Amino acid sequence: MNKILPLWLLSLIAALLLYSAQSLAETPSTGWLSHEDHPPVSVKLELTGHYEAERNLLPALLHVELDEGWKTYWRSPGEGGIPPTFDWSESSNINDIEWRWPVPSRYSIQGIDTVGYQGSLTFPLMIQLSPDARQAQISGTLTMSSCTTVCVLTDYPIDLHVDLDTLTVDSDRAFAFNPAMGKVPREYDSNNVKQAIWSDANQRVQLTIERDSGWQEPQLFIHSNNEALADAEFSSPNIQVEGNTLTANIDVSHWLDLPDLSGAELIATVSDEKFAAEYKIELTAGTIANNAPPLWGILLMALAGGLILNIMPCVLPVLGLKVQSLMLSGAHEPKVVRKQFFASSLGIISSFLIIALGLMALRWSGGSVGWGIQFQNPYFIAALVAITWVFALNLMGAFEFKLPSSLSTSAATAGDNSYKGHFLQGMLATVLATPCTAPFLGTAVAFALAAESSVILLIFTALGVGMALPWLLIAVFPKTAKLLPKPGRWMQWVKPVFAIMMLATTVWLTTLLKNFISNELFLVLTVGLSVLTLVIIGKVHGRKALFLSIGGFLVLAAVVGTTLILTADRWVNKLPQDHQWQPLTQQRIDEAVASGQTVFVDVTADWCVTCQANKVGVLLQDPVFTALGQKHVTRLRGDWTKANENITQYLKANNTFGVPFNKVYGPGAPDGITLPVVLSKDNVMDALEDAREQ
Amino acid sequence: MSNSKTKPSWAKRLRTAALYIVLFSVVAFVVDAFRNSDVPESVPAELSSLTDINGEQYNLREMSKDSPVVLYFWATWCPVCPAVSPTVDYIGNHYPTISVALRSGDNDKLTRYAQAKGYEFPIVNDNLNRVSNGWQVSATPTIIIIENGDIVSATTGVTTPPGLFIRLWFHQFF
Repeated sequence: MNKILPLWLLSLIAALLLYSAQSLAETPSTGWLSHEDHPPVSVKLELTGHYEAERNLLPALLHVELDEGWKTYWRSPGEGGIPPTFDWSESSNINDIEWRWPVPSRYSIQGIDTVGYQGSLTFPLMIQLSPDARQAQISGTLTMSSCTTVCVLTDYPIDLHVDLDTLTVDSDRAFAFNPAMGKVPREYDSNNVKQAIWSDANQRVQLTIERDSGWQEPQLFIHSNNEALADAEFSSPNIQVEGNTLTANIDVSHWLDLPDLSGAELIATVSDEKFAAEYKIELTAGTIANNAPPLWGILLMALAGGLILNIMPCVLPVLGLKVQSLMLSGAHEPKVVRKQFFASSLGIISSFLIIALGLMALRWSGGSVGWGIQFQNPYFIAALVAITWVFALNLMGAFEFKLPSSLSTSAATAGDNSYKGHFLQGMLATVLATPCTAPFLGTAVAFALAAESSVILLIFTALGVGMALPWLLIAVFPKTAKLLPKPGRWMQWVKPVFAIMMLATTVWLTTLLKNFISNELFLVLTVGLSVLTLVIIGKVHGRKALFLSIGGFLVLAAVVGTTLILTADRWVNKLPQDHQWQPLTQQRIDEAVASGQTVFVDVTADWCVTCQANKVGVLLQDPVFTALGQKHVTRLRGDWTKANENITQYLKANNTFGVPFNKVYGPGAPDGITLPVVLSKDNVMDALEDAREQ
Repeated sequence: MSNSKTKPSWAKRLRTAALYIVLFSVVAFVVDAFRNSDVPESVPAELSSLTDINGEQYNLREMSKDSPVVLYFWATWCPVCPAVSPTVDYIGNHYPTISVALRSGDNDKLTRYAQAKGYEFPIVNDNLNRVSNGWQVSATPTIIIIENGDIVSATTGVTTPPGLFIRLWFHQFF
């Protein structure tokens, strides 16, 4: 027998050995697991194949796939929820399994705040083997909770065998481990936490955290490993950012008795754009200064804000309606006048309450809220077009205002019918005149939208009372109505004027619809409405009146047109072509400021008349127009005509909920200078100057 | 005009009756559509008798002979349940109502939880999912209506007080 094996046999043995090693080599995975009773959720636990010998660690990935609408929870799940857990007690040679939790999001289910995840997510797990173990069995039950409007707790059996001798790295999973860990917050120096106060009186935690590079739109989540605090609920924090300092107020509650939190250790997870950090916190007992203004102060502001709404440019579309209701009421007895004006006031206040209820419903369903957002809805605008058109036709005498027939017969003689009319006019005037913010109003609305439902209703009532104040005054002192012009034949001539003002409002609202419908549809709508209006005038007042009004309109158009053309050189120069504006994003602001630019932010909407007044009256006028055109100025515009989540977020971050909103940033003012609602040349120029200077 | 004064009242009555019929048909249809097909047709024999955390015994088959019985599956870890539990608690004043708490901890915890939330319905502790598995219920909140030992309605998800009342009335009178 030959002592040396032939070469071919050697290579065969080598190949076989290599093959068997390859076939034994493995990277354990459970594959996708799903429960037959609950298909919307599937999970998969797999090892990456790496082994960190020093600490006996096996990095693993737990993938979770949730169908649309389903959510699962973070380690502190908020009110109600329950985090996923892995009971690995049936395992052998396993020392510990440590979960790493990616930064979660906040969700509102049926008005209840929860913290968790949706879609597909990956939890990195660190599995620690017993010292000196070469083999291990990972066995147990993974329990996942998942909720939509129903909640399900599902168990998944896990069984993985690990053999370090055959364990091989799976390059895809090893790669996937890194982005998964990237979503897990890193522990940061707790020296950045300047204050961590527990106020027993307020049942509130206040945290002050600094970050060198400042905060953008930080989110904060609280967790406690303390068993006694397992069922404590940390509310969605109220966060305020001032430069590099973040101050968060978190209400703490417990369905049973809340233990004393002084000395308690918490973990605060803070996420921001491209930033996720964990801070260890030890609470110290203390008092929290109440920065928020008292409720009576806010109510006073709401009253003032409502009153000022009456003289904002936004009231322009309903000016006719308002003046009409004033002028045409001089005819009646003080008693009747009182009731009429009371009806108008009630209409105004009801409108505010309806808006408040709408916003509450929207907030409750998890939608984003804001002041004037009803104008972002084409159906709302369409309804207003119809209503204002009917009002205009009514003023033209096309028909008398009729209410549900059961009321009208008895009411007509008593004059009650007209009270209903006044009520409706009050409502309409409010709905039309409230898309823009006003001084004081912004603060009051911002406070209201962050408060509980009863406070929202209270503040909106105050806004309504504020706006109705002039009407209420006359209602209380009906004799003042005598100061109004006496009725007479002139009223017949004034009525068409009001009708035309109302029609102008219809036209304005119709142009707003243009943002939502196709050009063809818009054309059909405009022509259709115009023809219909003319036909109705013709029917009611006869052909003569029809031709008169068409003729009158043509003459008026000719006169106005000629005047405009003749005087063109006087005003054309004053309204130059607007500059090019870039769409508003927080990133653009940051980049421009970082490169030394001055940034002018203009958040506007087509339906916001005050915004148009600011534009025509200030932004397009010199010296502001030239100043904005300079090379060192970056112009960013946020168009809120249609709902836009980014812009809503930006407004919210600036503690406001409506337009117009203008802010100037620059090296001299990295946090920005907020401009007043009604712009003036001086305050824009001053802000631009201040923001530029370092 | 004097004639028309009596006529509308008849027409009105007919219209109202028709309206009710349509309304109930719609409700019945919706209830059927929502009906959880997994739930058994009648009360499982071995699960007819339930014991709540205070040791009180309930026999679903016996109880449901007199009036519809509401069986409510919920959990302390279910964020949606607090939106439904008060409704069930209120219904409990008008119809026999029993709740089953899925995997929600020991009796002591459940007692304190119910006290803190002000729930007065009896609670059967189903910490090991024995009852809920028998009923094939895996999702909370689920409300089952039992009549004469038969399951006449099973809905999962959010329910409003009028919704639940209409369902109960419907099954009691039709």
